[in-house]
Amino acid sequence: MIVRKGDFYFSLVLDFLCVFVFAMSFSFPSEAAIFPQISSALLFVLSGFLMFNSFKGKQVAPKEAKREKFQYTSAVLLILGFVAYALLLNFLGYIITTLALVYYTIFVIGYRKQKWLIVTSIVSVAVTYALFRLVLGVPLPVSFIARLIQG
Amino acid sequence: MLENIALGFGQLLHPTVFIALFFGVVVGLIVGALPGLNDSITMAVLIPVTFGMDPQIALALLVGIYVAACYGGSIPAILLNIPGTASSVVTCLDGYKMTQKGQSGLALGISTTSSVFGGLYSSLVLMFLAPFLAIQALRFGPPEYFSLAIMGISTVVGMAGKDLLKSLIISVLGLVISTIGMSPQVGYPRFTFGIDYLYDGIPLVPMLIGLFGVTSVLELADTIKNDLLSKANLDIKKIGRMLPDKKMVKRLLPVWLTSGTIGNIIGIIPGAGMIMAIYMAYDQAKRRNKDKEFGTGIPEGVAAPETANNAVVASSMVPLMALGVPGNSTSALFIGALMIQGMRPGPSLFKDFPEVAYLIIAAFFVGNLLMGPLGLALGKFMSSSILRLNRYLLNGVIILLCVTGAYSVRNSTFDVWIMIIFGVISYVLNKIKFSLTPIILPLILGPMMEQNLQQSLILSKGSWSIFFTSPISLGLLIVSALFLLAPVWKAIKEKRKAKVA
Repeated sequence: MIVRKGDFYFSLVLDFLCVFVFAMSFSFPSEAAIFPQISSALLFVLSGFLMFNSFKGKQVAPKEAKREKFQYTSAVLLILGFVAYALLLNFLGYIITTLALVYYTIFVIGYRKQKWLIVTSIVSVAVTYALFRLVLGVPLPVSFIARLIQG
Repeated sequence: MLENIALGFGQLLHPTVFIALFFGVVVGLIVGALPGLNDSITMAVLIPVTFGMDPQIALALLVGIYVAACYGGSIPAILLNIPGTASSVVTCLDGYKMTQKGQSGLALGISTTSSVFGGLYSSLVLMFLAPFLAIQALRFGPPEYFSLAIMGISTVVGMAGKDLLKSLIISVLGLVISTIGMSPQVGYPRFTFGIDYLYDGIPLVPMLIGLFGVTSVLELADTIKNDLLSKANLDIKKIGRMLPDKKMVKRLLPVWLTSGTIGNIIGIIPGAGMIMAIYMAYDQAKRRNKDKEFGTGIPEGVAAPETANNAVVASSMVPLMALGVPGNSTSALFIGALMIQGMRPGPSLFKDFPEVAYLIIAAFFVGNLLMGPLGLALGKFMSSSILRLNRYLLNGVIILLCVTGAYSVRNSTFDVWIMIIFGVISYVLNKIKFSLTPIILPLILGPMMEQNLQQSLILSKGSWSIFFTSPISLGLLIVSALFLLAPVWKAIKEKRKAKVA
């Protein structure tokens, strides 16, 4: 019986990764293949120990497991927000997407006072933009509209 | 020699040279404190600008940046759990926990005093022992470097405590991931899937920002569901006293000395790197303070890495100044800075341009002294402005710094993806009690290990005995074995005790 499900599934993921790395390394020149082969073989063995250990120990109470599931909603929403940010960054530019991201993050975490939410988002993005773009010269992405205007 | 040292310090009395050093320290502190920016980027941008300057002014400016950036990185590490530079990654472990306990001021104070101590210690080494130590460092060939990398990784595994297997797995996973990119020996692209950005491997800084910054924001979302945020809020806003008192100084002195020595030794060995030094120093501090639970906000956990990383700064100049061989990528930039001024680093620098050689050494010493008050002032300013922010709003600022920092490394959205991916993986693994922190050092040391393994095997015509016939390599391997076996031995002893009980 699997006791530590997390360890078990992680060891499965690692095993797949090791097999993939080991198999792919045969397409490399021999000098480039040795190290991936050694390290993936070692990881495979260690992952085997982890899988073995995942069958040992005490079972987690089902009540506790149910409570943990509930906690993930906000984190999943945040991850989706980060993914959307990375997808839209080059299209909408740094200022718009980052403003939206800061607002969204604070909102998802649970803050609801709109005035401070908006002020913090605008001020923090403005200060960071000024520091990175204007003072340090980091070319932060511009929106497609700005790119069209600039030609 | 003393005459030359006096000559170096004498030049710093010139107002423009001193102002350049002062300005460099301020710039270094700021770029270090901004995630995504570091000393190498800033110096690389500034070196062409220094072309028109007097050599003394130009070098004082660059030394100031190099000295302070490393310390600057500890400020966001302590206050926000985002390492400002890669060298402050270990500082997050205890520094941020101290902030959560309402001891952010003390954490910043310890970080500052430790950095100044480490910096001054290595400046003295650079001043008096440079030529002797540089020759010792040259005794390191491929087998010794390979064994050194093994020792570095074994310290990370040793840091694991009870979860030895998990730490070992994550370390080896780091080695597997380090094979992404061009192979060091033949330059063959591996596991890049046609993505140009992966040719240099997984970018370190975005990965670190993800591991620490993104993960902490995601974990905060869980905290809210547990209604723990209001409790956490009570202490986090406190800054408390900054400078450690006499009792604390006495307590930290052994850590400073050990970590400073580790930093100096690692710094002198070309290519060994700052990250290895901070992990080794943290590991040593942990081993010497077995009664303290590291990772829960222990002052020694901040003092050890901060002393070691600043000790690496000046000591990485030892091989450069004495032999013309750079200790790391940042000190390599000094070659460019010196050559742009018509000088060549190495033994001839001391003979042909003693005023410049000793000015650099003196600037490292004075730069560290300047870093103390300036660092405390910046730390106080940042803590008073950042920590007073509402905890919810602060997390918006954290994510803002994370994405901007990750993007700024190479001006690429790809690095933002790396940050998100590693942040999510770390968050998920934390849920099943895996920490991704041990992945960092193997990821950095992987290419060094691979290259030196292959070079060693070529030298020995395929015989693995080369690692045991060199006394230095053998010594390093024995130490590695001890590091690895110590937690196993401890676990066996504890099991026996439990059985008896």
